Amino acid sequence: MTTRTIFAASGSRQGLLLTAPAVLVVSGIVAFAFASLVCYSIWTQTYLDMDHTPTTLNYQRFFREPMFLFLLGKSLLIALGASVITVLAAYPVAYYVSFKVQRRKLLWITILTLPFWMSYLLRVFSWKLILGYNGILNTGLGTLGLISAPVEALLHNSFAVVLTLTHSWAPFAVVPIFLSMERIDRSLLQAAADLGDTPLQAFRRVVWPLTLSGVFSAGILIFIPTVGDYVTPQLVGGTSGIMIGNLIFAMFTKLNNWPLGSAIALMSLLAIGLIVFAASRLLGVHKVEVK
Amino acid sequence: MMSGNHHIRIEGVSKAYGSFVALKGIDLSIAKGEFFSLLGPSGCGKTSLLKILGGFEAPSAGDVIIAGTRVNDVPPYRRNTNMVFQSYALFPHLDVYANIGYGLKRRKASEAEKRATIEGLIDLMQLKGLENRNVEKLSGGQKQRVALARALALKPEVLLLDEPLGALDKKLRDEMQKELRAIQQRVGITFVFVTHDQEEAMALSDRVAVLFDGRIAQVDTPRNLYNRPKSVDVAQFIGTINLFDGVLRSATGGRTTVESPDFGTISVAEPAPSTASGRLRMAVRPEQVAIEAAGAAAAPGRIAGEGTVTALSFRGDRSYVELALKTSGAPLSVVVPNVSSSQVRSLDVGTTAGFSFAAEDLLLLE
Amino acid sequence: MQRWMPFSRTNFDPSRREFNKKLAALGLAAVSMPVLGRAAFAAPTMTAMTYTNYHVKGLFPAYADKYGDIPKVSYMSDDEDAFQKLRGGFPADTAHPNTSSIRRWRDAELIRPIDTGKLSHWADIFDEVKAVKGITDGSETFVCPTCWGNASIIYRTDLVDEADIADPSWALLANPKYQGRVAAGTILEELVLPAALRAGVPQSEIFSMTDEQIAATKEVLRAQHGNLRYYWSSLTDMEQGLASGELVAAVGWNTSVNSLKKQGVPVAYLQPKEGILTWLDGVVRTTQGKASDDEVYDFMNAWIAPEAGKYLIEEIGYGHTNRKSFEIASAEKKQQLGLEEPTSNLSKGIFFEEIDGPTREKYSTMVEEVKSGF
Repeated sequence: MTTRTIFAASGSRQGLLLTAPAVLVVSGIVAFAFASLVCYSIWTQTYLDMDHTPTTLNYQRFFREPMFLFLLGKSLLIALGASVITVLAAYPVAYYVSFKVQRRKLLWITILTLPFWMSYLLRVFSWKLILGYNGILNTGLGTLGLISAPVEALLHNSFAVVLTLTHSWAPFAVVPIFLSMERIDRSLLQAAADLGDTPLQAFRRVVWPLTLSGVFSAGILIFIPTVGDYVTPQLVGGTSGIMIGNLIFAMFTKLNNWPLGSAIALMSLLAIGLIVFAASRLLGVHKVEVK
Repeated sequence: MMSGNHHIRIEGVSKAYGSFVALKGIDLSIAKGEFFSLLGPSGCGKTSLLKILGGFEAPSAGDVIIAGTRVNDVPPYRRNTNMVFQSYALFPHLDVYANIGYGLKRRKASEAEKRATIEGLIDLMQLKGLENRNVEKLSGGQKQRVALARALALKPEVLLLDEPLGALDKKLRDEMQKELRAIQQRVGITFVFVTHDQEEAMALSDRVAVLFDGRIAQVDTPRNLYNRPKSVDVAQFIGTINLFDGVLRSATGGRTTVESPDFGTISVAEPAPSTASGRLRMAVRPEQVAIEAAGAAAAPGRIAGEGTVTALSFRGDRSYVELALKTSGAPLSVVVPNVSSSQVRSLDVGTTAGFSFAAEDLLLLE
Repeated sequence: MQRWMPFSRTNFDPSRREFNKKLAALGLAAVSMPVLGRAAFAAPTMTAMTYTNYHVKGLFPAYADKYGDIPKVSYMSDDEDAFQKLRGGFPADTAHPNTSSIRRWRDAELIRPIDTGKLSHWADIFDEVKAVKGITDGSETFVCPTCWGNASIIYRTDLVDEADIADPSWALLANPKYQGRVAAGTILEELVLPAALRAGVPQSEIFSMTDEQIAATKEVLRAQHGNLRYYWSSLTDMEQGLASGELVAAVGWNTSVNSLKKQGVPVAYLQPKEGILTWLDGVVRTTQGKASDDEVYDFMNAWIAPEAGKYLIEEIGYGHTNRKSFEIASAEKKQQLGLEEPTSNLSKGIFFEEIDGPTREKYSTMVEEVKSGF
């Protein structure tokens, strides 16, 4: 072993030692939460009594009653829609700041994340103000004489949920995409141009593949929490925008059925995991090494 | 100027970035197949000029003509030039093979031809076996060769190289210099090479343009640059040189008479530089000076003097001697080969040494 | 239909009070409480779990006077929210549920009996109120009843055609003419009970339906579900919806009728043929509460004092449980609210009765399925 590798080894050991407490605490909490979910999901509850005999009844119900799979599927679709739209909206923004802005990029990014300084609820409410029956959009269109009566289809449906989620999570998408763009050596673009690529071709062959990991992590970052969101659907979803999170929330509250709620939560987790895995394969992200 | 076909012509090119002027009226002519270097300290404008040749920057004034066509406004992707970047700029998401084949992808040629081109370059660059290696995992020299292969794959008329050896360590750099020169001779493409390393420029180039502060100070063969620098700046930038003050007395028929506080009145077979004040500088390279016994008279055709030894440095094959002239106190560096007859052995710091150099080696500079 | 007004003054209310209400309605109330000057009294030590609009000094003035401040608070959005919080061990001393859900609270041993002998105003509470199922478990008292009110459909008199209310019914919510312009609430009883009546379940059985009756009720709710704009979870949303004309009708309580009329919105309270709903809520004492008996009883007693009732009637628009409150409340206000005859009012309509715990859970499950579109 050379001195360098000895140093490297002792360095990583030291790093491990430093991060160990945090890792232990975090993994402990996650493991506990997960274990609780698993335990609850194989128990049953009758009124106020918990029956601890292991059973797959909750899972059977999950697959037997179409409501659960329907809501899960719908939630996955809404979250997928929100993630895709958010990433599509965030990408040009990140691109502009990274490639076109010359000075004070950090200020730009800070301004872009301003919505995040505000409470999540406020952001959702702001959309109610905008999309509402007497909201800014309807009022504005009405004042301009473009509509004679307010458009009701703006709020209280799945569209409003997707739109609100998109806006709420956009800063989350801009930052990883921006960072992946910042990591691109600008001479790569010159090299591509030098080798015959028009700017568009250089984007497709160099920028896009090199930002794919950022796009992917942005998508994941939005997709995972939005599947289970229940606040936004409740506020702007109306009667048709209900998602699986609302049902899980109800299971743990109104319906007082923690076991079934746990089973639904675990199944959602599994579905999310599978979709993330499939998406990474589909996009070929696993092939790109993230440095 | 070199006669023959002017492959690249740069006519009155200037470049300004805001209030900063990087290039001030550059005129250059580069012949086909020439290995041409742009040499100068950092900030002298050499990279700007290269970028203008590559099409990454447009000149603020003047014209760039490559193979008879004005290319001022032609973007890089339509130019038949290719660049080897200082940082190599290899595509990190592609392997060696794909990097080399990057530019070929859209070329109209059969896949077989393209493959043959890439494989030929892999052979030429000794990259066999690394085709599918991730470029991030290559050594500096290997990266360098991939970058070169990638640029050559398109068979450009002109290859632009932006300090491509700068990131390599000394030994590898020497090796790469030889390879680069060999490759250039094999492919016969015009190379325009940017460097701040004068030894590298001299070792590689047919001709070198020395740039200072956005202007060309001199364009010449490496030999002439060294032996016949046209200015003190060039003389000092290329190698080391000893300088003495002098006053112009007369200049007739290619002979110049100079009066010097150190050497008295001397006459040199060289035209006088233009000097308004009559003051000029005389220069001689350290290796052209010989150490003599103190008090020895000057041999015919040589100029002699005496100085006190201020420093001695033994370097194996040669020794460095620093003298302070008895007359003016001006410093004089001498490089002496360590042959058995060398006078250096008898020297010590503080002792007096004689020296001499051939009158014909003395340069007259403005 | 009335001309739509792009700018409505009643619609925009960005005040913090309204906003807090919204937050609380979500059960996410991380609300900054006003810091009141502390007088040199015994400082409050108890925590009351209640609704945002119930947490005002005027509703328990005697307590506030004695302790110099209002109790610490934890907001509940509804009975289920409070139930789950308490089951999760939240250390509140009191809560404020409806009598209809109290059975589960007793079964889960979340609340303890109240010694009515310690409540000086107890004797003045309407006998009709004391007789409501759920106040006692048959022998011991578990709820100190405080407020009652109705639940029915509030409708815009200018936007709902008279013909549609000629035969007033809860079915107005399912009228396809008003599709997307009507809203229901999230309170279980207010969804299930009228639907059960519309499904033909006899009134005597709506609190203890069989599975078949639940299924029939579900069909009614499902049909209604497609007609709704949303299930409102914040009073403000519903009131603004009605004020702006976004909604033409919504299930609501007296307080909203009161406040909408105050704003000049032309609304009326439907008197459905199936019966108006009447609810009763009160203060319960939790088993896990740590506050002293004296303080908790002072709090309950303050709630049922006549001056508290006067405030409740005049400012909030609900009925109080103390008969003396009605003697001192403004006659005009009582007339406005239709509360001149509190006893007859109490006996009319359908009183929320205690629902057996497991049955209530069946109701809940059914309602959630409907809300999910099934």
